[in-house]
Parts: sequence; C-alpha cells; structure tokens
Amino acid sequence: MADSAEDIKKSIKLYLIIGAALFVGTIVTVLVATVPALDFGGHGFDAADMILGLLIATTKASLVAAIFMHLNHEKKAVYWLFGSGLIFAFFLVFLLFWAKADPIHYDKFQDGGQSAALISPQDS
Amino acid sequence: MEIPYVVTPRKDTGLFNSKIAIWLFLASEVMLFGGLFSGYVFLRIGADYPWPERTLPVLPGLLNTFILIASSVTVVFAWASLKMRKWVHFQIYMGITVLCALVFMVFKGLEYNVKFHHQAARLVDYTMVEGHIDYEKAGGHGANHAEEGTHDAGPDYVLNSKGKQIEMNVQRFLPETVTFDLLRFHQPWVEEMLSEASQAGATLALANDIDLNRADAETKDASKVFAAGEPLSVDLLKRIAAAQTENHAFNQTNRTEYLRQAWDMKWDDVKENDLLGEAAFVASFPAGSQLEAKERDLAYTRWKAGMRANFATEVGIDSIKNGTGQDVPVLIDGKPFSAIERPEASAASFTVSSGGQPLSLRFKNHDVITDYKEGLGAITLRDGTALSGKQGDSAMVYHYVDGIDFQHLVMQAETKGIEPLIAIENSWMIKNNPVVAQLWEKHLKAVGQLETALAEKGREPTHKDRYRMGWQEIAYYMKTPLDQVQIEEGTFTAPRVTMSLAEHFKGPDYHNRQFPHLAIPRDQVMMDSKFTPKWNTYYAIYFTITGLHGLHVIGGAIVLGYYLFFGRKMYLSNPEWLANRVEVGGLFWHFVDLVWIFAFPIFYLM
Repeated sequence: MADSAEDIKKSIKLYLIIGAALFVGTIVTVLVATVPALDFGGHGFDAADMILGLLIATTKASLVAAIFMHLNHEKKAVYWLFGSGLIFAFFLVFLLFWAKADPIHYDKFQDGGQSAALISPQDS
Repeated sequence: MEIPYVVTPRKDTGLFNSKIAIWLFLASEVMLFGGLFSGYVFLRIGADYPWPERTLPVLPGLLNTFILIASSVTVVFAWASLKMRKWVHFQIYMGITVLCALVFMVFKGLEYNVKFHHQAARLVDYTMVEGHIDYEKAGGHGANHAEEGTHDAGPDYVLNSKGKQIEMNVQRFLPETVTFDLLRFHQPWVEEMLSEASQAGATLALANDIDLNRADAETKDASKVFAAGEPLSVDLLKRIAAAQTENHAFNQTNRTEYLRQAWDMKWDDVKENDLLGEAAFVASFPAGSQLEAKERDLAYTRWKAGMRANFATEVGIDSIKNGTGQDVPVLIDGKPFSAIERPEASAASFTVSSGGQPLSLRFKNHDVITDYKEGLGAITLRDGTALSGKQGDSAMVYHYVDGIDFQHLVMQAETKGIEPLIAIENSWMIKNNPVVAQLWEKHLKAVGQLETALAEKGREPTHKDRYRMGWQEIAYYMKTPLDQVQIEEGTFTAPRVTMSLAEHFKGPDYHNRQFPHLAIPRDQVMMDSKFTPKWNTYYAIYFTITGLHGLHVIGGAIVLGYYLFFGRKMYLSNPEWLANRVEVGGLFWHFVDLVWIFAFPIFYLM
C-alpha cells in the first residue's frame, strides 16, 4: 500500500490519469448514447447500447475501485469482506433471473377461471 | 483507556480498526444498492407500459458525473496531502470536495423541482399528456381565456385558505348535503370546506336532530342531543363523535347485560318445561339396547351439545322463542328491548344553503375515491365524507402542453389487433382538439421523412420516434407551418427546437416558446400525477435510487466537512490518525461516486 510520503508522491500522477480517464469514459458514454453516428445496433436505444453503456460504466467503476480505493493492493481481509458483499449482491441479481426462468403459471388469469373449475373436489 | 489499532494496523489483518469497519459497511452498501439496481431491472422488464427511455435531461446528470469524479480526485489528494503533512493543501482539496457535494445537491434539487411541478395525465384511452396546469382566476375560470404562451401571475388568482393559488386540477362539486364519517373525517378538509363556504357566503347546518339512542330505560341525557340547524364546525363534529363513542360503549355494556338476562329467562324456561326434550331422548333408547353404556353416554353428550347449539341461536336481544317456537319479546324494565336500543349514528349529515350562487367545493383528484357518475349524483372522499349534489366544471386545464405520448395507447391497440395510426386518429385527443390534430399531422410528416432517412441505413424509427411528441418537437411544430416541416440532416430525430442552457435545468421556457392550451374533461382522465413516484414505476425507482444516493452525498459531505473544519486539533496531536480517518471517509466518498457511475447511464441514457 502506498503509505510512505514518497510512494504517495508517485501515486499523485496516477490519480490524475485515472481522473482524466473517468472524464473521458463519461463523455464516451454520453456520445454513444446521443450521437447518431455512434449509435450501435439498431436506431435508438437497444441491447447493443445497453451492453456498451454498462461495459463503460463497469470499466470506470473498476478504475475507481482499483486505484482510488486501493483495491489493487489491499490486505486479504478487505478482499474477503468486500468480496462476500459483492457475491451476495450478484446473488440478488441472479435471484431475478431464476424467477424469470421459473414463472408462476396461474391459469385463472387467462381463461376466467375455467381451468380452475375443472379441478373438482375428487381430484384434490 | 487507549483503544488499540486506531493508528497502527493489527498484525494479523494488517488493517486499522476503522478500515475494517468501513469495508464491512461498504459491503453492506453494495448489497443495498445491488438489490435496488436489480429491482430496477425487475421493474423494467416487467413494466406493462412503455418504459420512459432517455427521458431525463442529460446535461445536469453529465455535469453531476463530472462533479463527483472531480471530487473523487480531490478527496484522494486531500488524503495524500495529510500523509505528506501539508495542512493547507489538505484544506484546499477537502474544501473543493465538500463544495462539489453542495453543487451536486443543488443540481439534484433543480432536477427534482422540475419533476415535482410537471403534471402528467393518463387519459382513459391511454394517451399521455404532460405539461403545466393553470391556476384558477378570480371572476371565472380565467384559464380558458388566457392567451397562449403568456403567464401573467397577478393578484387576481383564487387563493385557498393557506394563501396558495388554486391549481386547475381539482374536481369541483356543488353539494346539497355533506355527510361526515364521525370517526374518520379529516380535520383539514373540513376546515378548508368551511373556509370555502364562508368565502361563498354559504352555510352548512346539521340536517337532522341527532339523539343518542341510549339503550336504557332512562330518559336520554339532554345535554348530549344535537339539534338540527346547528352550523358545521370541527368542534361540533368532534363533540358528536365523542358523544357517540361514549354512547356506543354504554350500549355495548347494556347489550351484554340484556343478553345475560335473556339467557337466564330462557334457561328457567328450559328447566321448568324440559324444552330440550331430554326425557323424551332418554326414553327413546330402546329397552335392552345393544349400545354399550360408554357409547350411549357419548351419543347422549353429542345430542345435548347439538341441542344447546340450536338453543343458543334462539337467544337474541329482541326476542326468545318460547316452548312452542313462537317469538316472545325480551322485556327489560317492562319494555321490549328493541324499543330502547336503536342503531347508533356513525355519521352526521349537513345541509348546504348557499348565499346567492351555489357553493362550489374543490377536491384533489386523489382525494375523491368514488368519482361522480350521472345517475349516482354523489362523490365520496378518502376520509369517508359523502357529498350529494352536482359536479361542477372540473376540466383539467393545461396552460402549457409540453408532451403528448401515444406509445401506451399504441401498446393497448396492438394487443387488440388495431392498427396504431387508426387508434391514434380515433383518440379523444386528436378528434376533439384541432391544435393537437395539426401537431400530429406535422409529426406524421416528420416521421415519414425520418423513415426515409433511416431506411437508407437499413434502420427504422423507434416507437418513441413515431408515437411521442416531446416538448422540443411540440415547440417546433407550433412555430412551423406544415409545408415547412423538415427533419435536420444527420440528426435522425423528429425536428425539434434547440434547448437553451437554462432549459436543460429548468425545463421549457414557457415565456418565449409556444405550447398548446388544453382543457381535458374530467371523465377523460384515468389517472393524473406530477412526475413523482406515483406516476409510474420508472419514477418510483428513479427517486428511490437517486434519492438514497443523494442522502449518501449529504452524509459524506457532513463527515468530510467535519474533518475539514474540526480536524486541525487532531492534525496537530496525531496527524496519522486524522489521515486514517480521511482515508476511511474518502473510501465512502469513492463508493458514492461508484454508485453514480452506474446510476447516470442507467437513468439518463438508457
């Protein structure tokens, strides 16, 4: 970790470069979303724009985490703590996809209860 | 006691205390915002309406992104300055950081403010109308006569009891009677009603005598009887409610007492006359029965329980059944109970007598839960207040319409197999508003041009291009004749006016641009709202995430500001400790930046 005064002096330049990279990344995000010539995929917003936008955002976020938050050279304990938080956050997102892949079928909504009426007491 | 590891790291973890703490906290924050962002995805893929894509002005969001990035750099510089023991540099960098936080919140405030004052309505045919609602003018509904594009705020506006201008997004009702739910009436509404009545010179008086229907043989308490004609006041409603509540408790106590008496009377009857027919049942056992004694006992117990259950239903307050099954009134002090106990009133009705012209009361739409219908002649408010009478002039008057959106209407039409353009041409909006019909004609022409331009690139216009006229398009169509409508080369959007710098932050310049004026009859409005979480799930999640993020910015600024303004003493005594604190505060600040790095493209650009 850049703890001594000399190390920090060296890091200052890196911080500036990362700051500039974040500015550029932001401008690129806006340009690909607003300039027709840079509109990837179909016309207007679509999956291609989403993937590109999130890709740039993730890159920017990684730079902040790695350099500004010093995650590129942290102690093991920090990786364990923060890593488990990240895993749980991803788990939350994947819950969503599982739910999407396993929808609840409730036929009553579609046929006005006809199929529900078919379930007679003998069946249950 | 000295706390260990505040400055020097622990040997096993290599970390000082607060660093462990902040990373634990950030881990929980990642889960919090991760959950919210996954909520966003869930709402977006599950939305049953056209998701508002790229609907927020980009410039304020972009500037805020720059501000947060800049502050992330300065906060790390502030920490580095402390490490190098440069106090003044620390002050400068930390000062800039806190300033950035303030500017961020100002931009955020401007953005929210525009949303809170921007009105939207979904019509019954799913057309969306956006814009600004006019205020009511004294001496008639001046809004209808106001010139388009002018905004002459003057003293001639109608003010409510709090001195605020009354917006033309209220339902007017001309009541003949008003019935308050005594337990649920909302005091401010009653006060507002009274204020409007006194302005109009009308009075509301108690319609009928309210007696307390006390369930005892004593004469009623004269002081608690309310006579017809008493004028409406909050105090009167409270007094009636209190008397009724007290009376209700009294009656309940008596009701229980009378039921007991009824039981006793019946029980005596049962015992004397063997009404359960016990003797007959026992006699019905055949002599030398095959039933074992145990089984016989069981059968007997069951029979008795059944008889008792039947018997219980025969005991009421009003009557009991005698041995031959006839109703006999329960007598209390020589009087039948039903003559004493009568239903208690839980409401109080007031008759409106107007002074000159009929009293016209105003209600916000969301306060009216049962809307007016011709046959019904009544409305009900959220607090249970029922008003009978006639509906007044309740049109929703847009002074400036700055958005007309047919995307939802088209979505509905497509599920029914109706051609989108036919559905739009038959919408209330196009059929009844010549100005909008002209705008639509110009828009169709522009979309045609856009289609041709995009076709050369093998692309086609989006739903939003085709079916939504935003404020920039409307402002363009308002000033451009049909034959001059022309899309700009290379833009691949419908033609639109260029936004000025101020308009990026404050919305359209209503003074210098033209927008249509529109009065929408109340029965055409399905739902209306400002651009708040109520309007749709997009705004709900937008305000949730950006609002929570804003709170983080404020919290972070307070902590960093504390180091800036109160850190000097610690710097002099233990600079390394302060540096550690600033590092931890900085980690939080970077996290706030990190959330915004995702929030900005997701909400502003997608």
